[in-house]
Amino acid sequence: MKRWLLLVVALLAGAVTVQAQTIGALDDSLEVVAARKSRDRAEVAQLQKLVENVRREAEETKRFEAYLRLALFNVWLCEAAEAHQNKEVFKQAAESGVAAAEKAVELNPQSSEAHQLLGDLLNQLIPHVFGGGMRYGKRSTDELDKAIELNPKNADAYVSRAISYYYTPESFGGSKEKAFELLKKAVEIAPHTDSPHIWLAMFNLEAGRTQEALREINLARRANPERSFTNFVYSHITSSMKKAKRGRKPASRKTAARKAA
Amino acid sequence: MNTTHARRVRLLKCLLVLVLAGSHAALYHARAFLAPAPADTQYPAAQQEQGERFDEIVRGDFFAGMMGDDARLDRVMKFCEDILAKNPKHAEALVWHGGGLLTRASRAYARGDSALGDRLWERGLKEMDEAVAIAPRHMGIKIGRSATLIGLAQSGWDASDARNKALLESALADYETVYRWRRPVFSTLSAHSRGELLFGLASGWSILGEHRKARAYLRLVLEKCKDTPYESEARKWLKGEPTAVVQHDCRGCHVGRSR
Repeated sequence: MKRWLLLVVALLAGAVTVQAQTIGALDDSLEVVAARKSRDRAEVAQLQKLVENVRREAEETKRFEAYLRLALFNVWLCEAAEAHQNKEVFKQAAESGVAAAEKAVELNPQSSEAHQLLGDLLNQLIPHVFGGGMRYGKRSTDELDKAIELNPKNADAYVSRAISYYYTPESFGGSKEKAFELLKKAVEIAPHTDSPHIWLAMFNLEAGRTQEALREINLARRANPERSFTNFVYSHITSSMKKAKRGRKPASRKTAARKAA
Repeated sequence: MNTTHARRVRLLKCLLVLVLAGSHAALYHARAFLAPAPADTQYPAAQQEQGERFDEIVRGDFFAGMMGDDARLDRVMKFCEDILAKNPKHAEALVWHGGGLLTRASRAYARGDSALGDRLWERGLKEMDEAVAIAPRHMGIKIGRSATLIGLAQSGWDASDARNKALLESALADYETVYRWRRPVFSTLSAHSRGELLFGLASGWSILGEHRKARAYLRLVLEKCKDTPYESEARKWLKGEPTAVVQHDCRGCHVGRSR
């Protein structure tokens, strides 16, 4: 009996490890760590090199994991390019990323990550293509919904879908309320990742809730203090707090006298 | 996803329908948008014979189609195709049919069929261009095409694309012509008509980076749309970053999400 129990435990442990390796393939490899670091530092050239390496690997091996990584690196390249306002690189990365994510979906239609990356990259492409919303909006939303359906624990999918909800007008299915709801869900699933907190910070700032915005961005900074996107949002929040403070500052005696005169 | 990107995605999924529905109907008719005809209404060839305006016959089905009702879109597309089979230079049928093709293109893109989407997209734009070329003094046709193109540009824009830049410029030129034509009676138009036209111009010029022109139209909104929600919206844009792209959600859009 004991031996059976041990065997079951061993098999379960093996299965969990295999699953973790599959899901975590994106998180753990040295290459992914290096690419994430480059994203955080907004190093476009470095990320382009990494993208090129994975692109070659994907072409040679035709493996799902390689296409998935290629799509992910392109998402990160978009973020780095945005930090430098480099629209050309941004658009190219989004387009190549869409192609890679499409291939990943084709190779593994049951992959929530692949659908999430495809939905996210289509969304990235929208503002850079004439009529982008009409061309890619619906498909992007469908892909993100599919990603959540396939894996209700995919925190990234909730983040991407939340962004889409937030910026879509209500008459077309958008909902700010839903956006907050999904971001909170993402925090529940992955409390130590930075992305949901960054977006909660931004949305709270837009709603004029600066204290909540500050709290969220500080949580994001705690999770990853190096990400330039986080630091950009942080500086945005603190500067608008300063502005608000200046606005509230009581008038000096001189100004008051001038006003009275 | 990042900040600027997300801001620009603001109109992303609405685009064409809002602008086209709002601006076209309101401006052209200078009165409230009529409720779309129920789906079981007999198709109105007879109405056309009775001299009813073309856009009034087709727009209900077109807008319902844009909002997802394929049966009504198919019905009105066939109506236009029948007319075009008899008279390929029927400008109104062409401009509406072109809009319908863009809607069909968006459906193809949503299914992931980019090749079909691209074909329909190109045909749709071409038909709209042809319509304006056939009837250059027809206000409704100008508005239909311009509103569509400005809406598309709001939903995504590639500044390095010369062809689309030319399309948007021509759309804005036509909108300015419409404004000139309507100027003598502008104050008698509904607030919706005035606001949508001026905001369309402000938005389009801001997309092209012509911020002085864009702000001039925003100031015109203050003057011509006083005491309306358009005035406060324009004020907000004028207060903000002077080089921002003006994003405008059509107010009081008469197209329901479902019927």
